Amino acid sequence: MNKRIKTEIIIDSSKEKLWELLTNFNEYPHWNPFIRSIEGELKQGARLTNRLQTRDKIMVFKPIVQEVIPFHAFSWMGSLWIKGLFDGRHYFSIEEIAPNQVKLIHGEDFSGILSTAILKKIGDATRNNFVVMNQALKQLAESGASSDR
Amino acid sequence: MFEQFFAFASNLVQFTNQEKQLIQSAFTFRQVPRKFRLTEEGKIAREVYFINKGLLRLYYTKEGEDITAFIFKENLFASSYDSFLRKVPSIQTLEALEDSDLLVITYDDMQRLYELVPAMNTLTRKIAEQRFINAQLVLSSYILDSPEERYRKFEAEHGDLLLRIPHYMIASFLGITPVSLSRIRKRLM
Repeated sequence: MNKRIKTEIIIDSSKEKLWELLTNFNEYPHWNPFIRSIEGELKQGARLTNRLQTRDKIMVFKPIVQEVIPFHAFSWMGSLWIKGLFDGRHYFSIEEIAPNQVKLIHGEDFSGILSTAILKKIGDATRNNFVVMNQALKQLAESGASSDR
Repeated sequence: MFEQFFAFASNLVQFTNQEKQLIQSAFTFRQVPRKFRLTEEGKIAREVYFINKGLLRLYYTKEGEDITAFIFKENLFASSYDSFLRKVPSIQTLEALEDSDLLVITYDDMQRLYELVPAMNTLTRKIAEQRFINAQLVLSSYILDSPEERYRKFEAEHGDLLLRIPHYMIASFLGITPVSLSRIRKRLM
């Protein structure tokens, strides 16, 4: 069984609105408690610069966008130090349940020779960070705010 | 998010750290709002839920009326098991009564986990044994007890639910009308 973290949350929003909020990286510093900022373009093959809040410090990762399916999913692949030690495919997926209700799937699949040891240390905290971000996004989407404020 | 599950499981089995990692990878943490339907009548139940927080109600719909089959609370596994295990359309609906935090596993991931983590088999067997006992007690109570006795037993075992869910749902679980439940409660006060 692959090592993974998978979280989900039900949000009362259209998939179009949630996609807009989730992919408007310029607004992340205003609402996202986990991914504090993303620089770069959301297109396949592009390199991003992501600043992640981990406990009391900011960690910078430079993953490469793997997949972008508008209004449905996007993912990026990142590595710690060098590829093969601790690699993570971080993904977001939106599933429509009803015209104004969606399921956000937010997860990461891990691989690499250090993945078991590192996940043992940071797995719980990472999962908590995903959940905190999911909840903040739900609040933003359901409050009626739009990303073009 | 898994501390609660492992604390619950530790009363029945012991998992190694490696097994705990496999379990954490197999389950998804899902947050659902009140009234969200996890299983719809007529559709196949593909998942089982361990409740970290919240309440789920399993119910039948007959002639436009809901009949409560069971209320699942924290530290219980919930599903429409007949549908989940036999992969047939569910004759019940499973719905959140409160905003709920769940650990979710699919049928296929559960089977894989059984192979990788033998203690998971033991855990499931022990839970299933307890469920079988409970199901027999409920059936016996319907045959042997008066509605008042059924209510007394429910209150003794699940008194907290009286404050958390509408009483008409409890009445249908006990097989009585809401008016009868209200009368019984007044008599016992």
